[in-house]
This record gives sequence, C-alpha cells and structure tokens, in this order.
Amino acid sequence: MNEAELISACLKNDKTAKKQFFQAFYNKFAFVALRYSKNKVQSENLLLKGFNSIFSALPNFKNQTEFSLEDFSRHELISFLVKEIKNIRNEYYVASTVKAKEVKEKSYDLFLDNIYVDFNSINQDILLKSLHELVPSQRLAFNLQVIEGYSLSKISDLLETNEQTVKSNIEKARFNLQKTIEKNLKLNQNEQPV
Amino acid sequence: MSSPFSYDLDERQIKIILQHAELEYNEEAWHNFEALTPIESKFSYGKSMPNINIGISRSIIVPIIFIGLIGGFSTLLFSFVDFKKKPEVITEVPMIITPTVVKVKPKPIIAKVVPIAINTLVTIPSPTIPAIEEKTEAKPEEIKIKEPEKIVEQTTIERKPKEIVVKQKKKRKLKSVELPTIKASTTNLNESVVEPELELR
Repeated sequence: MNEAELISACLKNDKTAKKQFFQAFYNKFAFVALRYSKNKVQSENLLLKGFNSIFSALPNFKNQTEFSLEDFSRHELISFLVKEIKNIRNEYYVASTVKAKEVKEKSYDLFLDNIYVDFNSINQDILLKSLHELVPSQRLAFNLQVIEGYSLSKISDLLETNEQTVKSNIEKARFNLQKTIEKNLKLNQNEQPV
Repeated sequence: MSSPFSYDLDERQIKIILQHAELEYNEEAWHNFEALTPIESKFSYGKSMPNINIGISRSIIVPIIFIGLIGGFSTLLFSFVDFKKKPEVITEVPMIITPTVVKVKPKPIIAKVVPIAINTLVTIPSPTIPAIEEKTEAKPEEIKIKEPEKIVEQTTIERKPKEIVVKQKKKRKLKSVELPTIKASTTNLNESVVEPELELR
C-alpha cells in the first residue's frame, strides 16, 4: 500500500490502514512524545491522543503539497503535544515560576565537585533524564528551538506568548540543562564500578 | 557577585542525538490506541456541531467585565435615587372651634377730606398774548391765536387739604457762667533730694 492509498484508507476509517500507519510512525513519534513530556507515562498517554489528532487532521494533508506525510504528521503531533502540555495549567504555569527545591542526598565525597565533566560523553539517557527535569515551559521552548529548529515567532505562536518570554525560557533552559547534565554525569560516574 | 557561566553544551550534538532517536514498537501500544478510539468515538457527535472559535483576547474580556460591573453597580445606586418630585399630599386639617370670644372693637369713623376735582378751562398766559378772561357774553370779533403759542389744557386741579403748620418754639440760649479759678502752689517733694551716683569699677 503506497502513501496515497494509505491516507485514503485511513480517511475511510480502515482499521488495517490505521494500524499500518501507527506501526510506521510509532518508533519516531514515541521518542518525540518522550522528549516533550515529563515522564514515560505522560508520553504514552499523549502519544495515543496525538495519533488520534493526526488521523483527524489527515484530510488537511490532501490539500497541501508542501510537506511529506512524515513531516506533516510530526508537525501535527508536536502542535498537539504543546497544546496538551500547556493545558496542564497547574504544572505549566506554577512550575515555570516556582521551582521546589529538592532535598539533596548527603554526599561525603569531598572531591565530588572537582570531577571533570566531559560534555562530549553525553548519552541519550542522560540527556532525556536532564530534559525531564526541566520545567515544562523551558522544556517546550528548548525542544522547539534547539531540536526542531523552529523560529522564535513560530514558537511564540505555538506557545501563545511573546518572543521575549520564549527567549528567556530558552536561556533558562540552557542554563538549567547544563547544570542538570553536569549533576547527572557526576552521579553516573560515581555509580560506575572502579 | 554573580558566578560566570560558560555554556559548554554542544547543541548540534544534542540535536543529532535526540532528533532521530527512536523507541521500539510494541503491540501493546496499538491495543491501547484501539481501546482509546472507541471511547472517543462516542463523543464524536459533538464534532458535528459547528466549532465556533471567537478570538477574544484577555485584554478585551477584562475591560468588558469591569465596565459591566461598574455599570451594574451604578444602576444599583441610581435605583435608590428618585429624580421625579413627588406631588405634595394635601391633608385636611380639621377646624377646631375654640370657645374664646374675640371682641371686635368698632373702629372710629374718621372723616376724610376728599379732594374735589373740578374741570375748568384755564388759559395760561403767554408772553405775547395777554390773558383773556372768558366771558359768557358773545364777542363781536374772535381773536386768532397762533397754534404753537396757544396752549389750552384741560387740567384737573386738586385742592389740597389745609396744612397744619406747627410753630416751632424757639429755644432759649443759656448763657455760660465762668467759674473763678484758684491759683495754688505745687510742691515738688524730690526737689531737695540728691541722688547718689553709681561708682563704676
């Protein structure tokens, strides 16, 4: 089944076509959802709803020839994810202004702070973990700007804020991400057997 | 003192790691998706309704709410105020007849002197023509008088009542009598006293 047939079958609410579509894009879109959400549970819920929104937006794909099906679906999923995360208001607005301090675990290692951190040795797990520790507004801004490569005006339209807010969120995200990566790398190095 | 922050993260590397990363497909996810769709399809009748999205921003809604509140409050206040004047209620006061008898004194009748108006023709003597007394007898010749000079008026002369003139009594001037003055010698008590001079040190 080629792309056009797949789309027309999905529009006719064909179950097998939908499953094929789901299988084709699940791997990539699952990781996208994981990047935007705060944990795996939230990402799974959002991904399933996101696929629904993609299927309902498929009629719009026929009218345009600018994007490929994957790009179109990815864009639809991202806009859905942003909208959903923004709608969790108690997390999005409160957490972006107030960050509760976590109780630090006691460490008696005097040389912990002096460990050299090599940022080139970042792996995917540490990056994801550090991203999840960011507040939602900063995580969204960082994802949209750095990873997706969206312009500031487009991000401000998506987040329904002005560009200055987006800029400041990105700057805060960069600072916090580096700090969290640093912390996680140190912890990771300590956990490794000598 | 703010600690210097150097951004050491390589965003290009982060982008490469995260952009094209994938998760493994599991069949459970599809089952979850299938379980989710029929639930949502029950509510699909809502989609048949026209989706009306009115783009009203917060900056419009908030002033409208405030204006509404102020307007409502002012109408509430005005409802307590009556601008129309109420007609005065006339209440009948019952007449109470008191037993007191008022004696009316008869006023003394005073005879007033009323001036009597008598219409008479009077000719005012002009400087050119001497005054002519009217005579009942027919005159042989009529004397023509120039119009501007002849002034004949019909006037009413009122006879004034006689004025009572009160003669003022002349006050007698009192002559002042000069009293004799007595010359007395005045004695100065401090005349012979010599004041002591202060010594300056």
